[in-house]
Amino acid sequence: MTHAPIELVAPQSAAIRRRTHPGRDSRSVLLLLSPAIAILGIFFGVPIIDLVVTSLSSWSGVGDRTFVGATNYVNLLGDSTAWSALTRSVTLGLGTAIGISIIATLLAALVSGGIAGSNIYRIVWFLPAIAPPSAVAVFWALSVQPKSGVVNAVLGAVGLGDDHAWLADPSTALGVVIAVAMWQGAGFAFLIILGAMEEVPVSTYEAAAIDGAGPIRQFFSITLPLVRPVLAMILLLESIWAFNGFTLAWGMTQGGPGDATTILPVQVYKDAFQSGNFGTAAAISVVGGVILLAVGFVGHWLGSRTAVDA
Amino acid sequence: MSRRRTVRVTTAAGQLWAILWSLLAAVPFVLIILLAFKSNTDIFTNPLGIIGVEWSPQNFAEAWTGPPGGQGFAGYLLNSAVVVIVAITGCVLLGAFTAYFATLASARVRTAVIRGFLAATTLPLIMLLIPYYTAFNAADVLSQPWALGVVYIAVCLPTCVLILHSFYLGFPPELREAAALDGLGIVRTFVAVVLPLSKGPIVAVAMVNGFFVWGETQLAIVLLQSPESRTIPVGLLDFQGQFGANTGAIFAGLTMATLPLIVVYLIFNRSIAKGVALGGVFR
Amino acid sequence: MNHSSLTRRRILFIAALASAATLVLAGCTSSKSTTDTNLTVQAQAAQLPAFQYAAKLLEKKHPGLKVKLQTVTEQQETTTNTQILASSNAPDVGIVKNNAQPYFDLMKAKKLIPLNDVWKSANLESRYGNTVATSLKWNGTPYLTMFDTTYYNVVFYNKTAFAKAGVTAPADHQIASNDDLYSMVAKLKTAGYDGLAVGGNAGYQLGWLVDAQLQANAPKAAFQDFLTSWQAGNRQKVKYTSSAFTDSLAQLSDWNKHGVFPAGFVAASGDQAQAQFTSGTAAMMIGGNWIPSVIKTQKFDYDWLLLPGAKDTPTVPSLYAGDTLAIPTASKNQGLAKEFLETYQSDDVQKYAAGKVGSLPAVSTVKAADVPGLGPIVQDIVGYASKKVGIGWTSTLPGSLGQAFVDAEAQKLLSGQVTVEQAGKDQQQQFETYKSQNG
Repeated sequence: MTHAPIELVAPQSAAIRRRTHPGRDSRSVLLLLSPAIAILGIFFGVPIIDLVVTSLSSWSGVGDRTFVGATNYVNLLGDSTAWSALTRSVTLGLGTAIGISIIATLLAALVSGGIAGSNIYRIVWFLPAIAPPSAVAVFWALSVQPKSGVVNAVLGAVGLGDDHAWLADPSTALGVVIAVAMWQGAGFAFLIILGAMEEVPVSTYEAAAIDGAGPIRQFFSITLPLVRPVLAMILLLESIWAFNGFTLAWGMTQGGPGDATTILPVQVYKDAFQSGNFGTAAAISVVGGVILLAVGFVGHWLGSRTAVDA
Repeated sequence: MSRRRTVRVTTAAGQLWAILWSLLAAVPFVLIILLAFKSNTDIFTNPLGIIGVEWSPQNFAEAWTGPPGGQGFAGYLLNSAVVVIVAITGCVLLGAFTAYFATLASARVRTAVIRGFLAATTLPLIMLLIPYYTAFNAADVLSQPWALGVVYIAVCLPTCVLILHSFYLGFPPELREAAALDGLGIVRTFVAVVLPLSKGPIVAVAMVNGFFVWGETQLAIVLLQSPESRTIPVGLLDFQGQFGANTGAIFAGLTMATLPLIVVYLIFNRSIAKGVALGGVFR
Repeated sequence: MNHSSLTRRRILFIAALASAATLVLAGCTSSKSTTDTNLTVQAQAAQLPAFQYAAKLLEKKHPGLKVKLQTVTEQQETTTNTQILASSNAPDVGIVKNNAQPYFDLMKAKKLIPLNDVWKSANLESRYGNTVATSLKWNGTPYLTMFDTTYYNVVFYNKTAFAKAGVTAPADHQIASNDDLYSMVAKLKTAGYDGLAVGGNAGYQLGWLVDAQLQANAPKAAFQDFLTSWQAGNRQKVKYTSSAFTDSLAQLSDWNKHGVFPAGFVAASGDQAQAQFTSGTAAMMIGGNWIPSVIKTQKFDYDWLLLPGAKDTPTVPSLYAGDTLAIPTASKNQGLAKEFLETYQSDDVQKYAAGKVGSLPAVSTVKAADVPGLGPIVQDIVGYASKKVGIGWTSTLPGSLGQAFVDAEAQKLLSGQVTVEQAGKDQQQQFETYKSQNG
């Protein structure tokens, strides 16, 4: 696979776009973009408005909503369970995203560096992303059980003891969820980062080698900086996905033991469906959503700025 | 001389990590298949045992007949297929369409559209349950797999658009200008010139979203009420009884559900790797 | 320009065709036949054969009637069933457990119909018995009928393991004291067995243990208050921070300190605990009358026993009278739905259910002794429970206050996250929040 010359693959410059006919095409372009915008509005916009309205009311899920103003939000401020859930989600999001980024970068470096067996690795390393999250949750919850689980069996064989009850210990339960989320997400990130790494032309590396830089030096001085925008985007997306991930945590621990793995979506589920407090649940969702929005916009702005600078 | 030695050492350590990670990635699949053959007791208390174990191949028969009250795995498979086909065709085509024309729009419109889709990804599915259920109920399309597919088009659209948009940003404008010179309108250009060249990323996006839709349970369990309409993961949930579950059958069902995905992946895997790499995603 | 307008027309045509096709498809797949009447009934997968039997009886009575059974999962029953039964497309008969959140939400929103006539014609007042009948009513009016009863907090033990460890089975199925329990567990451990397998993460098993303890330990007046203070209009007389409540939590903590439970039990699912028992790893497991019908015959003989209470008072099997059905107001076939309920309450169907799926009859007119299919162990349990039975606190209170809350709290207690006092405070706090929202 040859690399396209850098010039052709550079981002669109305003000059090129100006060469087309802005006036006429803008109208048809807007028309053509309207179905997607309509879908955004119907399937996301309306529910978000509905969500905000619910967060300002007291509602059991059926019947009428009673408007209570900002009471739910005020209550949230003093509610330690909601804050703990938020903190756990942040931990899960950051931990998963950072872990995935590090692992995926290392894996991509190995393959783009031409390690033997790269072709097989490309195939195998994406496999965890294929399994349905429910299967992943059931399997790993089983595998970390003391004595009988796979993980403990392996640890026992290596001599590290085989009766660690990872999911029963509140201090390690969230760590297990993070580890499993990393296992499942690393494959996708690996492919994306690998794609970006393979964009770097061979000539750049050759020039550096002539200058006397070893492979590790090349990695840190050439590869990483050029891959940075992609890395930033992956970090952002993975943290959003992990923050919002309900299926994995619920499937593995149902938020337990106690509430050691009750992340934000799990807390929302419990408030809404187990306690019938849709107002509180909506308020927590809105707070979480606002945080993610802020993170997302800042991240995207930072990412696009870096690209232009580079 | 020292440089060559460093390279070999790095390669040796690198190979070790590569092999370890490959084992970590692949062995769970082997184990899931192994567990699918075990009895409910052995799954929990002797998951790795191979010798002297009482095998329970009837798990697969039970999974195929499906839990009581359902209509069998074949029915679930059909429903899952309908949902995935509707969702992925719609999402990928509309996504590619939107992502491409967003690159043609003015910077203001483009940023607004992308920001809108980015905002959509931050919404947790769990809070969309109730509005979607109420809407489905009002439109009387509950328990219709194709309607669920339409919902998934919307749910998967943001990731489709975001990923493909980054790809189209790097699309050579010369091809577009050549087509314009030939007298092709923008839509015709898209269909005749751009689309055929974007096969790689489109296949990649289609597969990633396809895997998601195939295993999605949160929305499906609420929007597919009647047993005949259920998809595979929802149908398998019925193996969980009030006080206990037929875990062996669940694993057998999950194995049967994952195998087609692995087959599809192995057939198309080169497209994924190529598609994600071509043109550089996320610029 | 000609090309683009042609393309635009083509696109519009395709779009029109696509939407027409969708409408046709929608029309085809959602057509309702106008000649047959359809009755939709929710059922649990385990009891499905019995529901099918009742459905056939009803179909025979009404030619042209088609009864459709929809299975619901345990998770749905306690959560999203609220929305489903309140919607305009609700099934005609729904599973509305009387201690789960949907029941309370649906009653507050007035989405269930009263069933006085069903109770009268099926004579349920006397066939349920006084205590149960009262627990199924809302302000004196019944909105529920019960499809089976369950006894839980029965511990099953491995006779072979006991013999190997030199443990004598307790007299009259009752472990006399906590010291006895600890010495039993010590002997079992020496022989290589784990003690009492409990699914700490099952979401309800720790709540069961609390139920048995409360029944045995709390003074009568305090226990009565715990069972009723949550109801609208009632005032709390005994707080959950008092020792009447926290003693029972402390008992669980003591058991944990003495190693009664296997390692990692706080994260074990119910199936995990059951597998530990059936594989012979744990010598005992917590369960109820459905266990023999589920685990059937094993490589070892098993029998049942009861755990001791805090001050060495005996515990008794707890009654769960919450497997209940209701009819949503949105049902379009209320008459037929009521008939289905009556059919399921008939001795014929109750006897069939007991024999076929192992559920205990909901009505007193069918005796467990008359159903040989239940097996000797279950009949033994039922015989014992007919004389000594307890009310489950988590079986009575709404889930957000009872089962779901105390089970999570017990998990926190047993994994070292809270102390007994803190757990009591948390329970009291949850109660006060509930009261402020529900009167």
